[in-house]
Amino acid sequence: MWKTLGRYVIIKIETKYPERVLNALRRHGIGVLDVSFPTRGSLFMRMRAEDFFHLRAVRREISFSAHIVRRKGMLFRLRPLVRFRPVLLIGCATALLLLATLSTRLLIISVNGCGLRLPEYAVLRLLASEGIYPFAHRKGLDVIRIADRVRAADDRIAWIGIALDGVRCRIEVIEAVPLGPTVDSKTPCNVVAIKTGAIVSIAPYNGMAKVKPGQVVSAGELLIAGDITAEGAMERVLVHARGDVRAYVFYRAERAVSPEHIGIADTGETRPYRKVRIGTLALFETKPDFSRYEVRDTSDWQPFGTLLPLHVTAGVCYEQQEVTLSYTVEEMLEIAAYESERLCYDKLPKDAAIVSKVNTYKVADGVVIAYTNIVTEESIGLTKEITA
Amino acid sequence: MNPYLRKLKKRVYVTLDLPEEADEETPRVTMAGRGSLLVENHKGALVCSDTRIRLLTVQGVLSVTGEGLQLLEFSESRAFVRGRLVGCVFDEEI
Repeated sequence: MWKTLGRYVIIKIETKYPERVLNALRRHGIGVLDVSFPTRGSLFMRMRAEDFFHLRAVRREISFSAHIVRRKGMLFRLRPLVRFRPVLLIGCATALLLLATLSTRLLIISVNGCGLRLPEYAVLRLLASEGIYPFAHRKGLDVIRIADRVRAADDRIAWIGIALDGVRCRIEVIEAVPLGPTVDSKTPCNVVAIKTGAIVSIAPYNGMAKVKPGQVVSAGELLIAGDITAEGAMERVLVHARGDVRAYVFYRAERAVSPEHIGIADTGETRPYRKVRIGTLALFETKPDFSRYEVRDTSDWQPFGTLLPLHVTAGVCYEQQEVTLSYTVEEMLEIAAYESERLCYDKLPKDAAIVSKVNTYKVADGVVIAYTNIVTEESIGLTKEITA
Repeated sequence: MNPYLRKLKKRVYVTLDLPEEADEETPRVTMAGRGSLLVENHKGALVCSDTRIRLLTVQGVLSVTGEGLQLLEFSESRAFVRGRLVGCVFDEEI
């Protein structure tokens, strides 16, 4: 096998004394192989390419003529590449070195979930102080501890998640919900209703209760009074009213669904789909000649592992078109109920406890209308400063 | 080399149970069938042709005869002969 890897030449030597040539080569430490004697006065032999240049010293001792008949070996075949394109080789080597170096660093840092209260640069600044910044070394980062420290460093962050994906770092942030405006505990104030409801329970810790359980109150109505001045008293006594007032609150939503609607359906035509990207930069993406299509059955892999952030995605493009579909009555009821419930749930506060939920339906002119009524029990008291 | 020293050297090799050809002088001839012959510790070639190859050794001239003879390897101390071998004799003693 070394014969194909190295460089060697087959030469023809013409001389009167072939034995003397062989002995001279031996004295100079030049080993030869496959020596054959086709005619008297000529020799064919194989030697290493480097040894051919040493024949000059041998020729000083004994005269002979040597010609290269053939050059063999992989290094000879690679010589044009090495000889005439050094810049190419240097460029390739540099590129590989750069790639190997950059693949050990963080190149892309993306932050999701920031809003007006918590700008992105504030999160990036905190992360930079913990060792996550562009071109930082990506090995040795304890993302869980970093996330804990960043969350503790800023009250505006309720939760933060850090994920390392090759040279990309994804940050997910959830902002903390701010507390409402608070009133100083020494300031006289009342507790008023923030929404309409039926009182379930009222527990005044400070002040005087003005409503009873079972009573229906409107938004803004006084629940616990901070003015506890006794009748006939000379001086007005104002306190900071506090208490827990819970009430049943009613929510309602409705949704109408028609039997005919425009939907999207597959036509049956498909095309193979391929996408090649580095990070978020798309190098190649299949563009099928469909006016409308959806890519499904996708699989994603990295051919070079973590060395290079090259992703290949393969899938199938399904051509789609708009078609007119008809719902059955059962489908309309189900969709209308789902949509109206969803609309109603969107109105509920997070701390509300659902007491009951009722769905009712009405069919008119082929259209199904669903009504959802939800009753919740929640705290409706709001502290409000006494102005007069 | 001085004959006395040569004998002494040989005695040392035998005493230490070393192979004789380890002194780089004693020729060693290895023949495999009728197709190949390896000569170690030779001192040069005297005649080279496709029917006869004569190699100089410390203990005489080794003559190899045959047909289509070829030196597959010829280096400082090894000569590997391949071909249809007819004979291998020590012609002259030095």
